[in-house]
Amino acid sequence: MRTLLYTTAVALLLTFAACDTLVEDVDDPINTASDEALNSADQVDFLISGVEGRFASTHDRTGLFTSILSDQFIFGGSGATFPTYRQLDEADINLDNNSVDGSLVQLGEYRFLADELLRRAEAIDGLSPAEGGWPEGEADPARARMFFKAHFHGALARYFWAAFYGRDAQEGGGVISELDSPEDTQRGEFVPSDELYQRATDRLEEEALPRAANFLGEGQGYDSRVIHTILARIALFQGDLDAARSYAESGLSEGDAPFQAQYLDRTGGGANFWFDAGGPGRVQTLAAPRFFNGDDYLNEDLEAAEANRIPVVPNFDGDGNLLGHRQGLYNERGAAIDFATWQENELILAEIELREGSGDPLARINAVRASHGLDDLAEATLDVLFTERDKELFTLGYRLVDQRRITEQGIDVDEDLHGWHRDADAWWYLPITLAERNDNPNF
Amino acid sequence: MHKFLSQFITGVLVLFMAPGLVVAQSGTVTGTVTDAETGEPLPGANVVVIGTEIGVPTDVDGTFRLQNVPAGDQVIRATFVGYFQNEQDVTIEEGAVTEIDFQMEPDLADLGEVVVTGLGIQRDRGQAQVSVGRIDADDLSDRASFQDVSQLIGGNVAGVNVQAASGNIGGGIRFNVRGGGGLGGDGQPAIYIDGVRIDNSEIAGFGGGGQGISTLADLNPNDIESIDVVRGPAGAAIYGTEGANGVVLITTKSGSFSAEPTFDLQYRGTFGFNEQGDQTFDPDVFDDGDINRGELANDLFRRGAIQQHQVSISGGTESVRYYASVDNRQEDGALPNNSGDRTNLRANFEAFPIDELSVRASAGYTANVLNRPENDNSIQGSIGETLLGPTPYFLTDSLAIFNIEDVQRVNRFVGSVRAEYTPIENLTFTGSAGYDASTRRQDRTRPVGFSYPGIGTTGERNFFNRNNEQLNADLQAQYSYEPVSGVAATSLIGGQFTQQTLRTSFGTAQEFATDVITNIGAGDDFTTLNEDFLNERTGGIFAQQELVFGDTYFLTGQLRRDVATALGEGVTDVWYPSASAAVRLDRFDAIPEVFTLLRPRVAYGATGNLPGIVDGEALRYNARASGFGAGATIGSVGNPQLVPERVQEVEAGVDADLLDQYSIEATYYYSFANNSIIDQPLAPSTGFGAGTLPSNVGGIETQGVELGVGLTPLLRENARLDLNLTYAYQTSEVTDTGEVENIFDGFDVNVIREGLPRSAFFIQEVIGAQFDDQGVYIGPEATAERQVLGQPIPEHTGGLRFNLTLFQDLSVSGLAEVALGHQVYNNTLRFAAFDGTNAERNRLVGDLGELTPGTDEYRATAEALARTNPNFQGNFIEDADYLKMRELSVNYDFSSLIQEANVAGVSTLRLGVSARNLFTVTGYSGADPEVNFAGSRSLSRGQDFLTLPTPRQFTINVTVGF
Repeated sequence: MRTLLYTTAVALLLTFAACDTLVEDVDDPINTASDEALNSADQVDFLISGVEGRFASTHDRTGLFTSILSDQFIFGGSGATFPTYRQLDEADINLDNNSVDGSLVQLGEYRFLADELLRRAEAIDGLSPAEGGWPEGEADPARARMFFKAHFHGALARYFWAAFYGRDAQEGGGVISELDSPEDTQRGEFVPSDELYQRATDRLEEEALPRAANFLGEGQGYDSRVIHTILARIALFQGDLDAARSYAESGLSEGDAPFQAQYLDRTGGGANFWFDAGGPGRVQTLAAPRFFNGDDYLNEDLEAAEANRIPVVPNFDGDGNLLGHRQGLYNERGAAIDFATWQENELILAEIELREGSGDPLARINAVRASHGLDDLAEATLDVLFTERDKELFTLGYRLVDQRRITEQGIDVDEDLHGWHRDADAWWYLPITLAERNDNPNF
Repeated sequence: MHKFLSQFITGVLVLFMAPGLVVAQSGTVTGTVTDAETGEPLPGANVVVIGTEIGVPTDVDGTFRLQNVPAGDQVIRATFVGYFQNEQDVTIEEGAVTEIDFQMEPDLADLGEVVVTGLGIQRDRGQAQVSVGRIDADDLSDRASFQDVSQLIGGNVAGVNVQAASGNIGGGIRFNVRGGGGLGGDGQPAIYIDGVRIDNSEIAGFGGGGQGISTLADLNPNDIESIDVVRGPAGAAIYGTEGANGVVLITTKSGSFSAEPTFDLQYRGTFGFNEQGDQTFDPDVFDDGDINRGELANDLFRRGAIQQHQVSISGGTESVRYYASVDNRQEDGALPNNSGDRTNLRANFEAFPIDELSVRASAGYTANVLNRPENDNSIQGSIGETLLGPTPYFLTDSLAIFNIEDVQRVNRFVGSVRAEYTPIENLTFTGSAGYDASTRRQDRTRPVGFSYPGIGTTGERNFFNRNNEQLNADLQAQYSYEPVSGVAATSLIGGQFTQQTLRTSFGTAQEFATDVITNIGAGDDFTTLNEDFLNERTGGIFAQQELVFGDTYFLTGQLRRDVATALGEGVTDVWYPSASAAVRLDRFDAIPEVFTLLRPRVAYGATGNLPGIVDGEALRYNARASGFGAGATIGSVGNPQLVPERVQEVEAGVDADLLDQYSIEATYYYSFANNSIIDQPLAPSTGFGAGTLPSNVGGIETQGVELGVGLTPLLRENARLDLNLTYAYQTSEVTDTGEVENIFDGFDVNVIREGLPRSAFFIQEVIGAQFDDQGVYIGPEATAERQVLGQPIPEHTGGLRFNLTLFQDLSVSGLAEVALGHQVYNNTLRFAAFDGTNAERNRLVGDLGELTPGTDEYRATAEALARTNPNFQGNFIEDADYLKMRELSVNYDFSSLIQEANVAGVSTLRLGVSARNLFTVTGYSGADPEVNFAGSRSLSRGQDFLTLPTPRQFTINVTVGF
């Protein structure tokens, strides 16, 4: 009997062990890799491209939605069906707006990947070359690039939150939840725009600038000039004209290539979002009617000089009736979107000079116009300046910030032309939606 | 007691040592076992010498021979499923042959039925300790035509509600078994065909607007003999993880053993059509003022032809039986680009090469071609383009829509081998292996020359390949013995192994230069190309001990351990216990003889859901292409702290049979799940907003009552009426969602939230209208917070099946199904309000403009108008109670006439007509209260959004046997 009991026990134990071994012996997935597998200097370019990809998908979506929320674009066109876009146009946005959810998801992942890049860069610092760390005894360019990109994009992610998103209709800011692991239940608190702007500024000034080299691909000094233009924009948005001037004076200058978000010429997450939301793919948003037959905007024939700067394409319904004009900047899925240009830098300086009564703002405005083959203007006023910004920064979403700050900062312009165009208490930020609030007890 | 334990342990251990336990004997007993009423021999009956290990099954002639029976007085017992056991005292003389015969009295309580209580183990219905639903599929498909296997189940088993997600041929199917089990997993039962754990996925591939294709659409209902449904963990715990949402066991036809070789050839033909009614979309509901959109949408429909041909052979000899069939079903849907063409081949074979060994092989092959229409949440769907939009076909031209070709081509093999070996009496080893392999190819083409939003006029082609292989292997050893007199025991141990290997690949190209060359490489713009791979395994070992005291008291205990593949944290494992008991009260003298069965029973079982293969790994990255190059982005988010979900259920019930005419089965169940694995949405600020975190944060309680009544109120020589009534009530309450307050579906309508039923509609409710100081209507007034406005899962479901047979040969049968206590979100009507095609809203807007603000009539109209405002989804939650005349058929069996006329070669001739979904009684304003726009696996449930309703179907059926 004892033998039988032993035999049974051994048989059961063997069966237990065999089960465990059998189910572990499987082929790994081919489409994902573990977190640890990327802790290697060999993976730096792959990691950086991931961050940059999310920069692009944040910039296009945020730009499109804020363009509709501003007076620059309207809900409409041959493919306009999304109630969520209609809410943006009317600045009457429900907190369950799943279009805004989409842009928040991109921004959240962008911020995470940028911060994770920094954490991983520091982790790789501690590894020997045999363990996947940097080569010993030399300044590895990949290491420097990794730190620069981590700080640069970490700053831009915070800037996006600050400039475009808000907790309440007129309370801008964002939220950053830094978790030890995905199952960590801690959630970040709401951070007002000013503080997020400051965090972005600090990262750019104190971490990215000292590491600037040729990481953005347009030669020595370009990195620095891009950063200065972005810093100038942030300062301008905050109404700090002195700081804005200081930064802008070291910013991009005529001849510099624009710093752009790059897109992939195919469908899916890598394509320019405008293509399928307000372009050849599908038209759900049209340029505001004021872009036609208005003072200083396009004429009926669309071949007026401004067509180079704000190209548009007529959009018709199924019966051939003209519905309006969609943007014509991004007619390909792979069309790049400007993020910072020397023209914007010039207009920042021109605005400061107009508001402070100094310098030669007209020359700056005309230089920008000349870059598009436009005639010189005879006079520069703040109204003219904001009209130029409206056109120069077409589709980028910055118009929304301009409309806000005209009210917030009391800038002396024609409010009918450039001020807030909806009810005074309407949303002038993209809301932090239920996607965040449902999982964040701080809201 | 000591003796009992000793024999009990010996019984278990004999499983391992049985071959060595044969001992010397000294006499022989021979005889036959026959049916006492008919005199027919009973092959397969068990004959044992009580108190020994000696026993044999009867052969095909019902004869047996017991050797080495100890000399002296012995008790010989014969048992057979569906009969009372029979014992006889005999005196064995050394070296002599003693002959005894057994005439077995049928046990009417069993009514000749056998149920499968778990892992393919068959038990007399009279001995079952859990509620098992059995469907005589062969009988049903003799009377009517069924498109797929799900149609055989709906309405026939209490507590099992089967919903088609749309009227698409081959469309998704959702089983709702006892309210859905735990919160984890897909809520669907495990489905076995002849021991093969089959793939029960819904395959969406590219597009479709939300609807997928059900893999169950590959199966031929005409090949099915019977279906057993084990509804909950109390009965299905022996299946372990797979039993959390019940188990459906399908047995295909197999022929029959016969002393004389038999060969039957049968042809079955079905001819008919699908149609939608001319009022499918109510013209009074959809009207933009210029064009009646309801009529326009109804004009889309056509009569879609159905024809099905099956040739089958079946038969057997003493030791072999077989069944084989070839079947082709061609079916057109009610929309022009919806069709199916399915060919099934089946070959089943069972043999007893030696007395101790039986082998069964089952093989089915399917070639299925399904053409799926675009509808639901799609701007290229014909229903949306007629009911919605400022003008019909506003976004996509009708010709372009109907030129979209979306075809899935499936080749599938499902096969199994099962062997039973009985080396000594009462010890049986069973081994089986099953294999389900399918290749599925979707080709979707938007031809050149038509304009589609996002695609232009240069066309688009998508391909999607899915190769799935599932393997399961089972091994069991079962030993029956009598530890003490009057106690029958059966010990069982076994193991189960499954493996799935799934590969998918897909691609998209646009900008084709010609419509005569359409391979994907001919497109100039290759926009998508990707692939995926999954390989996972599960293993389980289990033991079961069953005790029967005096054929009256039944007690069973089970224990199972499951393990599964998990990356990052190794395997996950869990133990599942279960126990059940029943008492045959009808065997007590105190119970009136009118009860041929009266059996209370109670059962407890635990099952659960194991985490997915990557669920335990905190973070995995994928490679995503962008304009900056391929980069690392979040692939999946996991939770290293995850443990398996546990679903426990207690079931209690009573089964009663009265006389030969009435049977009642009533069951109450209470199940509760904890540690449910919920895919918890994560705040975008975490960086993981695109994914979800599998978390043990869920708990849900479900309870309900199931009632089955079978009665024969009319029983005359030339008339018989059988009625089967099923009724089920279920209610659920989510008890825990951890730190997450709400888990919404993609449209923020259905919610998982503490205190609410599963998937409740949780939305702001419009409570009136708002007016300015002048009394002018300025918009709806809604509740500040979301409210529970209903739930998509019916609280009450039921079916009434009747079968009236007149003069033996004419039968009229039907099935009516009812569902009560649920709601549907009519998103079609909501979007009609956005687009100006909602007739009621249009009328109210017009009326309001003509009324004077401040008047009662103005206010009443404004109040009504507020309740049509599309910005508030709560305005479009509607009661969706329905009664459906699901089946109605009339059949006449000419076989006796044929035989009397002595028509050469023809033995059987049956003719019938049948109708399906003949009519629906409902207050729901949409087309069909059953459908769901997002298919059959989504979190979104009970949402009707431009979804094709299930069609009416009429068929003529002809069966000729040779």
